[in-house]
Amino acid sequence: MLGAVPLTAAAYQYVLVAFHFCRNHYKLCSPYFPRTAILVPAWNEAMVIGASIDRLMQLNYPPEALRVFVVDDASTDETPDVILSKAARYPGQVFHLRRLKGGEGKAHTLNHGLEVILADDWMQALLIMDADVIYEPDSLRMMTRHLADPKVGAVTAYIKEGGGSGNYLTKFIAFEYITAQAAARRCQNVLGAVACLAGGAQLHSRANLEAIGSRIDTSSLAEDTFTTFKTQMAGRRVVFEPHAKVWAEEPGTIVGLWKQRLRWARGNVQVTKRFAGVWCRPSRSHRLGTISFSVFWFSLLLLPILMICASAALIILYFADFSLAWITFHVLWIINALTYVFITAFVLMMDWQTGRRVWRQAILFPGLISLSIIIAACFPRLLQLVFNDALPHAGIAVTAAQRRSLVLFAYGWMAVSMLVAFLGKSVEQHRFGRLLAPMFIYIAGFGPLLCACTFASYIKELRGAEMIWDKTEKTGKAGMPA
Amino acid sequence: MTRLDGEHRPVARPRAAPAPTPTPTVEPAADAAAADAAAGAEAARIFQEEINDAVSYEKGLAVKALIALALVALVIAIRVLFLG
Repeated sequence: MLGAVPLTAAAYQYVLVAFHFCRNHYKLCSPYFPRTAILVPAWNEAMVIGASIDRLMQLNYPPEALRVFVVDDASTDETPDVILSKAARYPGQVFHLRRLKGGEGKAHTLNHGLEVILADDWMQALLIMDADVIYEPDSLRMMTRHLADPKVGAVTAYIKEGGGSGNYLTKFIAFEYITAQAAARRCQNVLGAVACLAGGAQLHSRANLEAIGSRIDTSSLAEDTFTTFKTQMAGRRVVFEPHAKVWAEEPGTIVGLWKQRLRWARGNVQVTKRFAGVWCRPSRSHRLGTISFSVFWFSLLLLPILMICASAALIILYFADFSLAWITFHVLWIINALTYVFITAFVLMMDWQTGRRVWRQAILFPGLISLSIIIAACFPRLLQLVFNDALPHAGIAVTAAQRRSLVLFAYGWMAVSMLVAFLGKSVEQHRFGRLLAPMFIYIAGFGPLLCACTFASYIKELRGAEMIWDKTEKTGKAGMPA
Repeated sequence: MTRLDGEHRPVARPRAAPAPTPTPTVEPAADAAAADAAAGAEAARIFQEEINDAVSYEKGLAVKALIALALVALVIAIRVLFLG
């Protein structure tokens, strides 16, 4: 029944979202416009950086309280020229900082900028963003209002998939972002412990930056999560502002997504190890150690292992005690079904603007086979109708041995689904891959693809593989809906 | 409708926080001070509206959670009554 833990944890998490109306930070907000430096790391971003700077200059924020520092990480394309031309267009507001040695990762690039910005006492708040993300005009203002409370050290925004009409994969990501950002982070606001300041939208107070050492951690691939944890452990609050919306371009291929998510997942493994003393140890200064937060964290981190364990246990039980296996299987998948119905319906309603574009991907998020198992587990009479009436009527006789094989397949599917999703990634770069890969993902599910990625991150971390900063490729397609 | 649905309305340019180290300034004219005060009041009004909008949106989410729970109850009912 371990397999049911992440499902129940997920359902509990979404129930907590409903309490965000009474447990939020709005009561302590006030209009506040600190002098804000925007730090933008850029490596070969010529295609996107110019438009990004222009949009930042159009934010609904006092222009005299806004400065943009673009750290050019030894770009080899026209990035420096674009930044310099913008610096000339917005004198005193846009600054070009050049690193001569690049490619060391985002944290190093950020630290280069931080050194310069902190050397001057002009900055009262710092917004760290990605070169391609698009801030809605009011978003920064909505974020800074939380910093009026000195107990708040950092604020993050709602990152949305901004690839326009996009393909099947970006639509899956768009739905996933409603669950992972709009929903999960609201729940974290309710709990008082935020797992991660989105790398593309993290606003810090100067006091917070100085308290965490005026530097971004360079020892891991999840520098944003490290900063989030350090902020809260230093006794300051981290707040998620769901109404400050930021649009980001996301990978349109499984290979691109895999690179990005492997980096994130490996970073999470590193965070888990580094902050080993935090888990399940409630503290007076922060809420990262609460049981609820720890359960949510490990439910996600250990999900692939729990899925494999659940499948293995069902298969062992199949041979040891068939009827017990059958009951356990039903209980597990019924919990799965109820969680799926609740989360999918709630999440789609939560952000219907995105939901109406991606509702098909939302329904198919667990994959076609898992959906079939859900229906079979929830409605066994329907299954009997198919096997006892419909199939024989169509001249298809299913033998007892075939039925047993089907049952075994259903028991093992939770583990096998990750493998099938991984095959989708493997075939993508081969001939007909662009045609076959979506089929694999629709069959296996987008969720299992992410689990496979997390599993791969364990292996990378166990092997001590080199930490390579695989930058997500951006084409400048990100945009806000009209 | 509110900005929560992605719409935007023109917002008065808010004022920046004062610098931590005082710098010599020119005494502002009375009309400039009045304009400043008006802009400040407008910014405060917009702020309050936004907070009210945000809180009512969050209240709406609680209702949506109940609707989603009702769907779950419906699935359970179908299973128990018809296809269990």
